[in-house]
Amino acid sequence: MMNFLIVLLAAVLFWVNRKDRKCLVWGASVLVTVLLLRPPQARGQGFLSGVTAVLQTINTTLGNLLTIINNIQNDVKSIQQATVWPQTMIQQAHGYTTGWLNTYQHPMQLLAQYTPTSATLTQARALEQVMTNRTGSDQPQLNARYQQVFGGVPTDGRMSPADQNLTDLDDALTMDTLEQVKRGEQVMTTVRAVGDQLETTSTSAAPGTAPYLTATALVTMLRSQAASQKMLAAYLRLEGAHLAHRTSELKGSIAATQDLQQHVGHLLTTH
Amino acid sequence: MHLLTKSQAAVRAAAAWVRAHTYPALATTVMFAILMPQQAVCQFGSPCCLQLSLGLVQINSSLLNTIGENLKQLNSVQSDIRNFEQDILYPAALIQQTRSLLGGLWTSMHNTQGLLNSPLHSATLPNPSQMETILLSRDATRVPVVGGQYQTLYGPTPDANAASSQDRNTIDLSDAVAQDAMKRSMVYDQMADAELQAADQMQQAINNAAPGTAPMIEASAAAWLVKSQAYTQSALADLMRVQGVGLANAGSTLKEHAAAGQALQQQVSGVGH
Repeated sequence: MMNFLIVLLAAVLFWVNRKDRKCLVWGASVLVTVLLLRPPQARGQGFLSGVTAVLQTINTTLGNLLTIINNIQNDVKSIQQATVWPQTMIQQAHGYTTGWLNTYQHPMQLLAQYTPTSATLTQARALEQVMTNRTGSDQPQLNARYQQVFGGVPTDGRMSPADQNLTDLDDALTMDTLEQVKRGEQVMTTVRAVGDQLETTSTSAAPGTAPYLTATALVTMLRSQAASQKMLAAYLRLEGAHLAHRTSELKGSIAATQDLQQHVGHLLTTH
Repeated sequence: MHLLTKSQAAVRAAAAWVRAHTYPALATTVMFAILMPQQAVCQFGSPCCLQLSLGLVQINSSLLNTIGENLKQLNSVQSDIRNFEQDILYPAALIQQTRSLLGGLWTSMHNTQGLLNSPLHSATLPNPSQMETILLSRDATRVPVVGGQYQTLYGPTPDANAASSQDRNTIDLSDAVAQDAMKRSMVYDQMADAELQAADQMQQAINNAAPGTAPMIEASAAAWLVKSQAYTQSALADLMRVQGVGLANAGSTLKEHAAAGQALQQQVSGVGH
């Protein structure tokens, strides 16, 4: 539109000056020069190719990348939900756990709680009862009943001081071991109860909470193992004392045999 | 007619005026051509404008169809994964419930530690009491004092002129194994104490762990358990050694009794002749 106005204005100027050639030539050359020197108008040819390139980037490059990401995420989902943690298998695992719990937990509780009573006499039965009550906090009662059944260390001179010491240590280590056994059994009762609770909890556990239960089970096993070691240590101590006692008897027997030999020899040579 | 004449006169006057001002008019036209902004290419009705519009529609359509649809699918998959993780794998409420349950279990197990470690004392005479205190001390640093106390209670190995070489060897080895058993029992007690302490700390760590870090504590507990199993085997080995030597000691005693009886028989029969 603007170019049309300029051309119209120029045409009017030329028409009114059509008889003045000098003016016509001068004006035409100025206009042609100006029009030639004007910068070219912007054109739309480059825009179409730009749009095509953007469309290609969107449809091909970005589209393909997004399709790949989508496929990967679908694979991840599929691995999670169909392979690693299929819900049917989770339900199945809950079912197994519930089945084991229903089948074994109560009978095993009954078996574990069984306490034999075999003694027939009053004092022996009392000691048997305190020895097997799985309570590790009644050592005075255990020691009192032990002495009622097995007697105390004689202090009326019928036993040599060495034998008194041996007997006293034997009795002490035996009572300590019996007490350690009671404590071990009390820990066993707690460990078993923890096991029951873990088993019950596992019937409704999620895959994400199961590691808590497994870790706790392992830690409880470690405690149980420590309690077993303490019982074994007591047993080891007792067996050591037993061996030491027998060796001590051997020493006494050697001394007694030597005495007897000397006496017999002396007797035979004097007669 | 009059009007036509008037119009022609006006045109002639205007043309005369323009002719008289040709140079300023030309200059104005040139200035106008130079200074007027170039017209925009893609205004309404331009083919470029149509192209631009079509291009934008296509870009929009591609964004909606290609990118939008893919992102929608991606969003759906991510939502599924998130829901699966939140509802099935790691339900927050169940995690909290499990943690509080384990806190209760920790308390009951922690109490057993005090029970196992409360002191025992049963001996009545001074020397046995001292020995009992040392043996039940759960302190491996007191192992060196066991030997002296042992000799006080069980006596030393007989002199060479008081017993046969076999008896002396039997006694010495039996005393050694008995003492070893007592000393090792103190070491095992101390190790068991350490295990109980570690178990206590591990359980506390589990109670505060995230679902992803609980297996790390589990691995640590498993490692401790493996070692603990080894300590138990070691204690069993010590126990078997004591019992083995005890049986050997009984056998040796029987042999010595047989030899002593034979010697006595020979002495008695020699006197008779």
